[in-house]
Amino acid sequence: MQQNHLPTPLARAAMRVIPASVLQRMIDALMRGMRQSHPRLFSNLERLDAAVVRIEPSDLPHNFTLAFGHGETSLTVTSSKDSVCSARLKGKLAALLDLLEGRIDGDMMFFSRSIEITGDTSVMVALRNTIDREEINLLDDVTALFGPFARPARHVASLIDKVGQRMKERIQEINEERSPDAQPAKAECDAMRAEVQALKTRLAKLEVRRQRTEVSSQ
Amino acid sequence: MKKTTTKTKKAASRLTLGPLFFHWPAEKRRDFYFRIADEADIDSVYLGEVVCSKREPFFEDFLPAVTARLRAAGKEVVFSTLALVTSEREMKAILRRVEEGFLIEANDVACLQALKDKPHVIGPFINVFNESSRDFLIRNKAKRIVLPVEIPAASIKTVAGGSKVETEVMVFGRQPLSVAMRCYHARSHGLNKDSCQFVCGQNPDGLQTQTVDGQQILTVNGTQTMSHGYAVLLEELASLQKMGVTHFRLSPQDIDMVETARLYRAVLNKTCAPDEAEIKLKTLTADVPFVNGFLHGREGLAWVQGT
Amino acid sequence: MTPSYLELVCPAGTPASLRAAIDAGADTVYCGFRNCTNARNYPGLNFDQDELVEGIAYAHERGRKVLVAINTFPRAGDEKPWHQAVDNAAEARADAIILADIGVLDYATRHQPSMRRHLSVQASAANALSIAFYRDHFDVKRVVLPRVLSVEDVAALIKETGMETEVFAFGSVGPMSEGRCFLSSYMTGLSPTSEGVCAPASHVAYKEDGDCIKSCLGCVTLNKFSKGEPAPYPTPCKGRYVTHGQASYLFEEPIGLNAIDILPQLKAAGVTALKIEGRQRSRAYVAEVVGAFRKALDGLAQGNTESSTNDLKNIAEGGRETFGAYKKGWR
Repeated sequence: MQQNHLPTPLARAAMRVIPASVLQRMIDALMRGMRQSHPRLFSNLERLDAAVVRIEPSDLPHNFTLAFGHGETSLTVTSSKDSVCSARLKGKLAALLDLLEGRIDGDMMFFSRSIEITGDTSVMVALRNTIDREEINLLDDVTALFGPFARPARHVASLIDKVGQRMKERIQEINEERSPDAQPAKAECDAMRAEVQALKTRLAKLEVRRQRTEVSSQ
Repeated sequence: MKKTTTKTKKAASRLTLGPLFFHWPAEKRRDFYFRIADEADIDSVYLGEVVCSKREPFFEDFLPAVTARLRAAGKEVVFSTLALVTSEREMKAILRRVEEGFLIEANDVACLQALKDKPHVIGPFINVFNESSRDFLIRNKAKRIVLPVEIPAASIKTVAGGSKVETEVMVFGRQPLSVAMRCYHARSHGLNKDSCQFVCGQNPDGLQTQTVDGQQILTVNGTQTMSHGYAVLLEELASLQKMGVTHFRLSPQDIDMVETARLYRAVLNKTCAPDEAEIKLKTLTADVPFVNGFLHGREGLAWVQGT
Repeated sequence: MTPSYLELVCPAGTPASLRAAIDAGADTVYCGFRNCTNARNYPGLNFDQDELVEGIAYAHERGRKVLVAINTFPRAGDEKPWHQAVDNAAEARADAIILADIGVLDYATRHQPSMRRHLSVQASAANALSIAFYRDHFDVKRVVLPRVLSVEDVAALIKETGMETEVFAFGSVGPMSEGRCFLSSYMTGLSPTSEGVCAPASHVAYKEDGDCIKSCLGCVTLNKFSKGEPAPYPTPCKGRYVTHGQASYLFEEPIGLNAIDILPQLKAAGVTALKIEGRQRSRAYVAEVVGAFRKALDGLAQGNTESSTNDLKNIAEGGRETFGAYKKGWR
């Protein structure tokens, strides 16, 4: 079965190691792509009152600043926690991506406290409702960045997710078989890690090939 | 002595005493109304239970004597009905009052169906926020409309100004903010409505609540939730008169209501300045804050100083 | 008269939610215009006229219905938006409009007589006489019953009035008589009755307070909860208040209404339609709740009265569920 959403472990792993400047370039490209695939989302965002939301994924070294309203929308990578903003959204990357893609209900995450909102709540409500009007699939938008290599990239992403899933299941199995404090077989984990690493490399190569094609076509 | 003059002065403002929201012992309630009949400069008195039908039987035996004494003193007697009617028994009670010939203040739309073509008063618990609903209700034989407490001055101007009938606004007392099926008074004692032991009787001016930060905002009275602050619209009386409001309601609190009525009457008659009356009123109301936010289109708990 | 089919009426705050609800098996979707004419007037939510026309087309192509809620109380001297909303819903060929204000009901009866009228929960009609009043004067075809009645009360009302009724099956518990609750405006100055916003986000603030989070509405502190403790909506009726020296959820706990386990009782009571609340919630919520109810109702139609296992607890307010007023003893 075709993978239908962006594998979070991959996104998290990638964003942990990528330096802010590179991540910013990727985000710029993603925003350009999304502007084309979701023109209505952007016009709706730009119709809102101007506001700045800081997004703080608790499991990443980066924070993001989303500015929208008054005819503009921008997403920038920041490291500072002190910059001025209208509202702050805190939570694990997986939760934030679920929210963005409308896979999970924002109120429910709030009730269960898996996301935290501080500051001007009306800004968050407006943003949440505006995003929820669109059917966003981040995997489509991310893989679209790979241009002609979109399909192989998607395939690789899906493989990574599957291996990651298998690894999780295996670890669980092992934990169930053995005493709760025992570690999973090291060799098995190492093998899986190596597989994930190889897949990531393949993905990175695709990215390079895409960039090369882009340069040569200019 | 005062009744004879009001007939000739057509536009004279009327002072009314709204229904008692609290569960006072029947004797205290009776004596309260006797004193109103004998001493208070009030034109209309609204009797009847608005909050909880379980309280109704307590006062039933005193009702004829109280009604007679108020009428003998030249006061109009109106019978207010429950704000939330759900049971068969409650509907039958309303039908009985209608048959008894009382002028009814309808607080639930159920009454309108029961009243058919009989003239009546629309109470503050039926939403009249605009001219279309006003006009429909007038065609349906409403002779007076008491506006909801939330309505701002700008709307009162339109609704009262263009009205073919009398308009009443509550100008004193804790503002009723919500009605419910559930009894919060009982709940605060770990009881429920069916097993309530009439704990609401313990608080003749309502049960004070605080927020977790110690702010005093809401007061609980049985199934009703009220403002902690007393609405005080003394400064606004003159402009309300100009807008076409004809009746001014004092809502009974556990304070000297005869003196409160005297202060309001003096301001209506322009024999006392509103700020002066406010200072005197403060001496009656202990440390309960005054509020008037709703009238000014603000949060209800706000206090907007007179201009 | 027990209807053989329970209609599933589902919320849509956005066109995406409308499609999600229909795809998940809603018989009927209700929505509102992007202004103060509906009781969920939150930023970024609701439909403009084109979106409504498209949404209705999507529903009608699949044999489903769309209802338009115009259920707030117009401001004096400014009734035009409400009248316009009634006319626009008729023009978009909505299947019915859901109204609360007597003036708006009167307008709709005279200007759009053929447009089917439902009585909103905001009109707070909780007894047979009230229902008869709205039926006699405005030819109302269906009443959405307030969330304050037990199953027995509901059955008695239906028997007495013979009216089509719609009852809440999932959503908030709403302890106060709706359409007549001024608690939120007492704290914020914005009104659920005339502006369609209870606990407007513009007045809600969450503040860190040591290890706790404090929720405030306007200048009023509603609640203080420790990390990980379930959080209710920041409405005055879900706040914690101190009485007799003790802080408690005086009005209602942080808990959601879920009637999925008493569907056979509601059907036996003669209910026509089940309403899922939540136009302010996401399409993920809509899809999940509608899907669960569709499954339960299909099971019920096949004579399966066993209560179905449901996993809706997580999505409910505060992560907990109740039958609310449907069970005696709640009040």
